[in-house]
Formats: sequence, structure tokens, C-alpha cells
Amino acid sequence: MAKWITEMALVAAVGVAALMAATPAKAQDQVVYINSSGGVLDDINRKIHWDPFTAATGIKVVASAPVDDAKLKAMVTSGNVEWDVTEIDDGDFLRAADAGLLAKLDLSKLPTDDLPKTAVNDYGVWDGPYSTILTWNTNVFPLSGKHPTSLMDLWNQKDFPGPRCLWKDAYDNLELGVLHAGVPRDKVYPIDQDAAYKELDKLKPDVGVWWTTGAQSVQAIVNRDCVMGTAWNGRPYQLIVKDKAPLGVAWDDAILRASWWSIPKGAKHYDSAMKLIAWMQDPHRQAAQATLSGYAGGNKGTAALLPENVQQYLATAPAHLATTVVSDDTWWGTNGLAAEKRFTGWVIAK
Amino acid sequence: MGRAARPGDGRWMRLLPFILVAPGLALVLLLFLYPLLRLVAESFLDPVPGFDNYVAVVTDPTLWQIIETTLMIAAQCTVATLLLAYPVSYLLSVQPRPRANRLMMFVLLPFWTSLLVRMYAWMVLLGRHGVINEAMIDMGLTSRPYPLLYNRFAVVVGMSHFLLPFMVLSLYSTMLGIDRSLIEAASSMGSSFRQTFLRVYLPLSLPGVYAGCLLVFILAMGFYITPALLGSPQETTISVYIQQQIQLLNWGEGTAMAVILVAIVVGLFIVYDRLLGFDRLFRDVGTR
Repeated sequence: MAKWITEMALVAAVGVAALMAATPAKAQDQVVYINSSGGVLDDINRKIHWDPFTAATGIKVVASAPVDDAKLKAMVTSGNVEWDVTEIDDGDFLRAADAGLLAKLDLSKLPTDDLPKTAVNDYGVWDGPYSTILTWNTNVFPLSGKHPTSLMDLWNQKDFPGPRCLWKDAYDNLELGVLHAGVPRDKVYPIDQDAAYKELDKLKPDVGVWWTTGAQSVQAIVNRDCVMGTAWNGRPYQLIVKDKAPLGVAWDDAILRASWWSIPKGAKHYDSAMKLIAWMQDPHRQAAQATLSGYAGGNKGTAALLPENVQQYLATAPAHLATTVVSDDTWWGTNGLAAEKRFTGWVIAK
Repeated sequence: MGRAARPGDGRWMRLLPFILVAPGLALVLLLFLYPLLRLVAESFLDPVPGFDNYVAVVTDPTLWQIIETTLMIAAQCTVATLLLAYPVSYLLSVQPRPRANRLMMFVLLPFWTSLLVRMYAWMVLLGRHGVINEAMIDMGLTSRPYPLLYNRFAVVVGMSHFLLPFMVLSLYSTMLGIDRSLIEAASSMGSSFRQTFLRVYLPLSLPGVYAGCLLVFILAMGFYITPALLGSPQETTISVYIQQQIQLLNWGEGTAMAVILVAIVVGLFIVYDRLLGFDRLFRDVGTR
């Protein structure tokens, strides 16, 4: 019996020793975990940014999806942070920073001179600006004939009859509402929500689909569940370029936002994360990314490297910016929660 | 040592059931009860301790409208699955066993297909220019497409598709236990088909009906993806609303809503028990 116990103890000791040896040492910083939207955009990022990064630095990039603020909060509050870099949307970005979920970036590692002032701060760098634009089915309204030219045509049932698709979210819809009420583009914020809902009430009976994912926004129009609707600019671009989908786009009264790259507080590979974020600011790589996705990063030098047919699909093309509302993150950061609640109450009402 | 549990060894026989359930019980406590308690704690603690979250949630008219919608959808799905499943289960229960097993495969088939794939399949079928509408237009049955998708109808269809096997299995197991000689006896004594069904078969099958309805109703209360994909905003269910709060980092109110959902389900259980009694669910009809 005693022999048996000794043997078991020996086996246990060897097992513990083996486990300890297998635990990676702290210095081993050769991997970075990045979390983003996923899907096609992940494939493009992998090809343009991440695989070349691994080739140049030896740091492996492990990707996950989707963007999930609740998961971020759960990770940071429980102290088990799996991500080293995460994408995060505009208004959510400020809320997350305020809630203490994000680590301060080491700005000395970033090419801050090449980035617009609005594209970088202590807690994040633009992943990329994008606009909510109007897209429509060209089999219904051919490009050769009379077709929608502005997001305000959502209200124009006389010329463009048929159901509309809108994002089921307070974002965009509130801005569109006040724009239709006649508020000038540079006076949209602070949003007069009562005025917005007065216009949205008129639009609501015509909404055939309240979409919840980017893929759904364009799919519903290709399927003709709706004849026109809002979409993020890269979605129709990818379908038009890749599949020659029957989609047209209109940029007047578009709404520009950005998503951000941030580092969660307590990230395990901070240095690798900073290196990867800096790597993704390169204008040549951002140009290659834009050609595939319709989304460019924030670098000021990127646009000059792009052919005109790609430039015209970018949210930051000067021609588009002239007719675009730039989202006020501060307004959304402060009022977002209450605005979303009011929107849900409005949208579910019969 | 397992051999010690032979008949006659009373101590082992008494302990055996507990030993057998211990791993499962530990798993349930660890993976279900602990997170549930954390969730309850969160609803009282985030962002500051107190009842603020419950006050905010209970006074939110949107929540009550959503709860009403959720209960309504669950009830509609329960009725739809019951009506569809009853004849199917009856048919299965009177088949010879090998054939019944083969047919049962078709009932269970939806379980082996991803929920998301099934939802997209329904979208293709029900769309404004989907298979059904195009076929009806081509056959001249209608000139304008019917609104089949993004409404209550689509949600009930999609959810019932998922829930049907649960109802069929509940009914089938009860119907298998019904002594068929009782029906023959009723017929031989001159009872009509309708009378036999209403006064003999239906009452005997009721335990399965009750069990199936409870199971389906409670499962339907928690649906998330189907109403979000196939419904309109008017089909927003409480799960969707909770998820929205969690994503907005509004965890205090989100968890308070989740606790309310659990309370509603527990409340339904209690009402159900008072009205019908849980023992009826487990009564073995065939041996009586």
C-alpha cells in the first residue's frame, strides 16, 4: 500500500512539473489576438495587413469576431482579457473609454503626423471611416433613367415607390430625420429628437425591412424585399465590384462615422498590439485594403495612391465629404443610451 | 468496488443514485446556478447597489409591451405546433415500430440543420419575391406579392418549425402508452368515431398535450434569432431587448430584465402546477 502511494505521488509530481514547463513564459510576446467585424473584412485584413506583419516581425496574428462590447466589458471586469486589439464603433468607443475598459495607447509608436486630428486619441486610432449611404436596386430604378440621388429620396414615394430598408438603430435614422426636417448638415448636432421622429413617423409605414446586419442591408435590396435603403458604403461596393450586383449608390446626405482600433485594459500582449496597430497605418497597405473592401484607414496619404474608380467609393472622397454629415461622437457618447431606448420604444410601436 | 453494489448490499444501493448524479449535479451547479446567481447579483449592484435597475425596468413601458409580445408569440407557436403535431404523432403511434422509427427521422431532421440555415431558407421561401410569392404570381393566384416575411406570420412559422419535434415527441410517447383495446372497446359498444376521440382518446392523450405545451411555450419564451431575422420590430422579444441592453453596456437593467423573465417563467410553472399538476405529466397512462 505504501509503495502504491509513493508511486502515485511521483506521477503527480511529474505531472505538475510538466504543466509548469508547458505554461508559456511572460517574455514570450510572439502572438497578438485581434478582434474585429469578421467575414470578408477579416479575410482582406489578413491578406493585406496581418500575414505580412507576421512575415516581417515573427509575431503571429490570431483573429476573432465579431465586435462585441459586452464581451469586452466581461473580459476587462473579470480580469481575463483575451483580446490584445479590438475594433469598436464610434459612440460605443467613448462609452467604453469612459467605463475604463480601454488601455491608453503609446502614441509615440504611431505615425500621428500622417493621421487627421480626429483619427487618433489616447484610447484609439481609426480603423477606418465609413459612411451610411443610400443604395437601390438598378433593375427597379435603372441608372439610365430617373433614379434616387440622395438619402432624402427615402421619403420620395412619388418618384420611387416601394418598400424601404433601414437599420434598426437610433444611429443614422435620427440624423436622417432632422436632415429631412430641413436642418442644415452642419447644424444636425445636438439632434432635435422630436423633430427627427416627426419625419421618421412619415417614413415608418414604408419600411419593409429593419435590418440588423450589414449583409442583410444589401441582400434585402438585391432580393427586392426593398427597392432602396441605407447601407454602409463598403457593402454595396464589394457586391458591385465582385459580383456585379444590380446596385446603385447615392452619397448626398450621407452620414460619416468611424470604427476604431483599441487595446483593452489588461491586454496580455500590449507591445505586440501597439506594433500591429502602427503597422496598419501604412498608406500603401491601406490603399490595397481600400481597393478590395471600399474602406480605407485614416492615413492622409492613402487617397493619392488610389485610382479614381476606387476613390469614388470611399467615404472620405472630397466630393462626398462636401455633402456628408460627420457624426458627433461626443453627442452619441453622452446621449446614445437614452436615444437607443427611445428608438426601440418607437420602432416596436404599432 | 463496483461489484460491491450487488443486490443485498443496502449501503451501496442507497448511495449509488447520488454517486451517479453527482457529476451532472456538479456541472449544473457550476455552469448554471453560479452564473444565474451572479446575474441576479449584477441586477442589484450595477452600476450602484440598490433597486434602481428594477425601478427603471418596471416603469419602462417598452418592456411591458415587449413582454406581452413575447407571451403572445409563445402562445401562438404553442397552438400552431399542437395542431400540426397531434395528427402526426397519432399516425406515428399506430405504425409498426420499424416504420414509426423511420418516419421519426423526418420529424427529427430539423434538429440536424443549423438554425441559421433554416432561417435563411425561410427567407428565400417567404420573401416578397421569394419562391412562394413568385409561384403564386406565375399561377395567376395573385397579382401583388403577399407580405409573408418580416411579420408575425413568418416568426410563428420559423419558430414552429424548430419547436415541432418537441411537441411530437411529447405526444408520441404518451400516445404509445394508450391501450388501443380501449378504443376498440368503445367502438364495439357503438360509440361513433367522434365520440371515441373526444371521450376516450383525447382525455388519455392529455398528459402528452400538457407536457408538450409547457415545453414548447417555455422554449418559445427564450427565442432570439428567429424573431430578429424573420420578424418586424413589432416582433421584438424580450431576449432581443435584453441583448440590446447588454451590448449598450447597460448591464444593470439588462440583468434586471433577465431576472424578470425568469420570474415570469417560474410563475407560469406555478400556475400550471396549480391548474393541472405536474404529476399528470409523468403519469403512465398505459398501465392504468
